Amino acid sequence: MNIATTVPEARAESIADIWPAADWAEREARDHYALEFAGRDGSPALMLRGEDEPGLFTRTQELRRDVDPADAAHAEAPRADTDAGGPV
Amino acid sequence: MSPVIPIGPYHPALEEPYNIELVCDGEAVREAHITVGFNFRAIEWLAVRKNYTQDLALVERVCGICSNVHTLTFSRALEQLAGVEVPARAQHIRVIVHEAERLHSHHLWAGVAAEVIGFQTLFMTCFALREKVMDMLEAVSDNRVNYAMNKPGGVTRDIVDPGMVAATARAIRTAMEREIIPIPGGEACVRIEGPRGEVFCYVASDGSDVPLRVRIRTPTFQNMPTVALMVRGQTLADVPLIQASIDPCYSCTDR
Repeated sequence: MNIATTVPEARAESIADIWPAADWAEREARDHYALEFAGRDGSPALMLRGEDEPGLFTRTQELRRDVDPADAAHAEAPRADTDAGGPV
Repeated sequence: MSPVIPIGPYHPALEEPYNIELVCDGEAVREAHITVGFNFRAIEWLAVRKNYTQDLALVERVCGICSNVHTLTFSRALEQLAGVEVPARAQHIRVIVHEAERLHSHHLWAGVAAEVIGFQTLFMTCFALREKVMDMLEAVSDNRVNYAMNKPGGVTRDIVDPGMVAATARAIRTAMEREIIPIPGGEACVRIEGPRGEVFCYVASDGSDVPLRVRIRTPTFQNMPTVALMVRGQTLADVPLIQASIDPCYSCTDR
């Protein structure tokens, strides 16, 4: 079964309390699209780390194809040996 | 206070990086917390910055063991978008390669599980059997890991001698490579039973040669959270085998 839906803001109800298998999917959606799930504000990131901002895919949408995503993914400064630009 | 035993992300007992923190009562595990993402390569991020031909090579690298299933789901999604029928012979070749991949993946899983319980002889036997399957796949595709056998509309190589399962027909391959299928706008969802469980692939297209969105949900992504429940109440010594029972792959999970 496939369900397509849209949300007016980047916020939706969590279903992880009813369906625990949704836990990782919701945390990953937050990592990638900064989609917040009500009631689970304290849950940790799944793929991102520490101080990384959620929404990796949305906040880097305009990045050029030749930019290394490793430089955009994490909160710390870019590696010294590249000139790929700073974190976005 | 209950002792907390952290294992990983980098630990001699782990083949791939992940972290499991076990809260114990003596020898019994009371709670487990799993952390993944140490292998995050942003493959879905990259996929919307490359064209479909480049993406085919990219998605093959989601997994280091079951690479074929990812090109198969991706190709089938593009075929669904383009409304393309795959020739019967190409479908047969796809089944042979996919099932050979399943076979060697299960041999790997059985071997690793045997090693975890200290049964080295069975481990050796499983890997020796797996090697035969790997040799066959190498004869078919010239590769042991990334076979590059699938493409939208069919396969990249013919299997010309079913007896030997060897050699490729260069003329057929050249003809196949020239054929480029235009991908119209739309969305496609494909589910295929991979060696470790269901692989789901979603592709959204705007009609250009670069996809709008590629989503790959891998089996371990769905299976791994169950390990935290399975180890509860079990002894610490059983944890390695319990987690090995789902044949976890963190390369897939993290993508």
